[in-house]
Amino acid sequence: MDPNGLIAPVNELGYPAPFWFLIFFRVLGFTLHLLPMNLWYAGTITAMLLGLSRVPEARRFSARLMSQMPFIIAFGVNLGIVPLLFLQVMGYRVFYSATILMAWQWLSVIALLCLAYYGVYIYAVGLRTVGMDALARWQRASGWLSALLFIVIAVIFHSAMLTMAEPGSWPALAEQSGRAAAVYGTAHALGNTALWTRMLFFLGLAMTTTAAYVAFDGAVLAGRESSEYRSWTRGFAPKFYTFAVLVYAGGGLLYAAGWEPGLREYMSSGSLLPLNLLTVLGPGLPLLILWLGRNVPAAGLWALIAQFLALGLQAVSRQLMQNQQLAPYLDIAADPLKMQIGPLAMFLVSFVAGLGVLGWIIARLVEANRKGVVSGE
Amino acid sequence: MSYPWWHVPFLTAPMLIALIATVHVLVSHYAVGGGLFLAVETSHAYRHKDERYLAYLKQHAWFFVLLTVVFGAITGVGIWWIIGLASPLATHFLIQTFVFGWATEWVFFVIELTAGFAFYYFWGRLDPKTHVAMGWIYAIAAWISLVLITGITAFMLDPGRWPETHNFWDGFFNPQFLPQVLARTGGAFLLASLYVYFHASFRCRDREHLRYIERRSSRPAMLGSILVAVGGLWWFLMLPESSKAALQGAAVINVLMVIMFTLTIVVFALLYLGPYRNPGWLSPGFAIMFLGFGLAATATGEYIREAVRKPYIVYNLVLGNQVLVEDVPRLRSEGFIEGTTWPSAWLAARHPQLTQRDSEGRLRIDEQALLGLPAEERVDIGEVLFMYHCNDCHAAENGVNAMAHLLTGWNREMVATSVRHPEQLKYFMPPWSGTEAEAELLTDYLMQLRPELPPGMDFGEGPGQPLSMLPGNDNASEEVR
Ligand code: HEC
Ligand code: HEM
Repeated sequence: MDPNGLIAPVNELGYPAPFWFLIFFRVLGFTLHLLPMNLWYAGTITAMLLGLSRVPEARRFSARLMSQMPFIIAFGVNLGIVPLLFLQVMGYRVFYSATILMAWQWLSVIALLCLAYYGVYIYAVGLRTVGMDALARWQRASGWLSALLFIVIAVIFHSAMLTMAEPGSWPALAEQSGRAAAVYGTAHALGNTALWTRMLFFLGLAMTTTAAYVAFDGAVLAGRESSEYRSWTRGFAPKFYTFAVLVYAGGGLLYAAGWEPGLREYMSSGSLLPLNLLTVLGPGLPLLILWLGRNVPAAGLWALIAQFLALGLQAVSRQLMQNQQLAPYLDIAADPLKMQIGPLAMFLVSFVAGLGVLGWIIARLVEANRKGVVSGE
Repeated sequence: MSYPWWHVPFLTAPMLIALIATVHVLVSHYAVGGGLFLAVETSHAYRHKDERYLAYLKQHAWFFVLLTVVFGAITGVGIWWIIGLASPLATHFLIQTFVFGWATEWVFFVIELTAGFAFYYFWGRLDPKTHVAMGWIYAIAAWISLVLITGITAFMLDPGRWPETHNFWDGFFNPQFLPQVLARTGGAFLLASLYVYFHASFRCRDREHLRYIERRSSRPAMLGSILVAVGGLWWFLMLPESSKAALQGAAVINVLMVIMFTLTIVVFALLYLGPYRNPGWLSPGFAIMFLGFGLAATATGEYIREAVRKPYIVYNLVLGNQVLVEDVPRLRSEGFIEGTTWPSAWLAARHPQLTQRDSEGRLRIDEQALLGLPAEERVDIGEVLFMYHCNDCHAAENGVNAMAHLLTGWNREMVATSVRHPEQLKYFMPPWSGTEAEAELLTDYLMQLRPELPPGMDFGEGPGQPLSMLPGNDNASEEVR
């Protein structure tokens, strides 16, 4: 089959908001999804491994991160909805087909996520009730299982996003698992080298986020922990970050080496070079902050902010890259614009009002926490 | 249809939507009603300085968080996942139309989540007023999510004036909107109380206290079942005629409708006689049965709501086989395969000699030449037509509404007529949306799928000789086989 013939035609319903608006919310949403997602992707397994350490502070961090994990997942999943919504609005011509080709895998994300999520709860409740050292074997096992499942889910997400950006691979996938022009939804991209190099690159990135979070936890969240713990986070974070950056760089080089020459040229072409260079070097800033701030209590906060910026750059560059990969097949900016002013206003107004409500809630919680500290609770 | 069709043997892909959606609504209604329960009851307990009740409510809040924040939220995302896979055209249609409705719902979802966590995890650390306020913020945000999503699902049953105006609000405030909001709000009240009974009957050891909990939740539950009944009736009255006819005409739906109303009445009667008049009945067994009834009524209602939409996914706009109503005439004149993305690419690869690109670069298929293909090729193309035109509702050999079983013993003429006029055979089937030649190929495929009458049946001419007198029988199918 000719992949050009497999792209869904433009839908006359049109885009409900200008292209820049849609893409802005998609990239912003994805950046917000990236931060927590990185923490469960690389963080769960890191926490489980640190739980095996003999260093008490490492074990303390492990317990802390796993206790925070239910919230991280709740908000991270929630923040994934935003980019998904806008991805479906502007990427429908390729998104549905790519996921349908691997439908069973894609659907299994839901079941696996439920399991992983409950696994984290089981572990976290165990930590709260009996403590890390007295965890029963099945409680420990659920922690490990969750860590594994998150990595499996990540493979599925990588497969889907990779396949979506490569319509050229569709005919083979369809033939691998189809009948009568319909598909069984059993195709997979596991044989695609780019999947694994992309994953390595991404895992490295996720590890950098986890490392920055170690410092952030020590600097901002660990007010009631010992000073040994806080200083351990400042010592461990830069080392871990350095290791993560090596994985990130190695994975990135392998990944980029597999790109089509045209794509590589485009990504390093004159006007894009500065931006993409900034993206590639983005993790350098948090790394620098972590190393220089080993004796600065607030460094963790700045490291995480810098990390967030680095993730934002990643989201922008990856969007540019995806558009370019799809360019031979379709122009995602081609849909007619049929503005929905009223509904758009409803969304923006509730968004701003929602931020207000969230601000109010968070202020109450911070206040309650502070009172708790004063009364020695 | 612009996307590949996902062939799920036996079940058919859309049945997976029904499965996940049903599981989800059983928890999502509780996510709304349970929030209201917690807000109202916590406020009551604080006012009466009822420490014992507060302790129970805290336990309940934990159960609530575990069930709704994880299972409820993830299965909700699951619906989204599955509709994109099993009903991509309709999903895209809905998302493009209501993206800002969904985006707004997401805002309330974030608020819900934050307030819910605050409510449970800061229990005892917030002063009572703030604590109750968190409960109310949760409850209100959850109910608004319900309202927003109901506008969109109700649109599918009746888009109101949207087809003329293409205006978001005309679609959102459709004739089905208020009845469904009412019924769902009732469902939320009712299910919340039944979940409370379920949880309390296991967790609350003190009989007297259990009786107290039982009685307090009985009124909202009874109110809920009344709202369900009133909303359900109103819903029925506002249904488009085709759906009303489907409800009355299809035996299964009919029976289910009776089951649903009966269950609701039974639950109401039990609520009145039990928790309201004679608190103390509540044992784990009774509570499980109660919850079972409530869940069964909700699941049935949900199933009916899905079933009566046939032949549409979105009334008068998108047909059950992922064909836009406005495209039917074009597909009938130019060809179903030609107008369907993946099958046309498939055909172009398989039979390049039958296809060519016109001056605008569009793929053109030589319809007449299709008929000249060898028999196996015709059957293969017929199978493509079956997948894209019929598999939404019919499994092939075995399974949901399986085609083979429906056609048992049919002759070619009957099959050929059905293919050309499905909407006359059963008005809840979409019309034929292809050319004459394509209808022939689909008939070829169906004829080789079709089993003979089960052996040994005698219609007066001796076993194994059925219908031999009828004209047209089997002659044509011989050549295909
Ligand atoms: C929107 C869903 C839907 C689609 C699409 C659909 N059908 Fe049906 N069809 C039904 C339902 C529901 C029945 C009733 C089954 C029953 O009575 O058990 C049915 C029944 C039938 C029957 C049996 C009729 C009878 O009188 O017993 C035939 C034959 C049939 N369909 C053929 C087709 C063919 C051929 C296609 C594709 C061109 C098709 N259907 C597409 C829903 C659909
Ligand atoms: C069910 C809730 C989730 C939603 C709605 C969601 C949403 C998304 C979306 C929309 C994207 C693509 C963004 C874009 O390209 O614009 C994405 C990417 C990604 N998500 Fe999530 N996500 C969810 C859960 C998860 C989970 C549990 C993991 C597990 C690790 C995960 C890992 C990833 C990864 C690795 C990517 C990048 C894939 C790549 O580009 O190679 N997500 N997610």
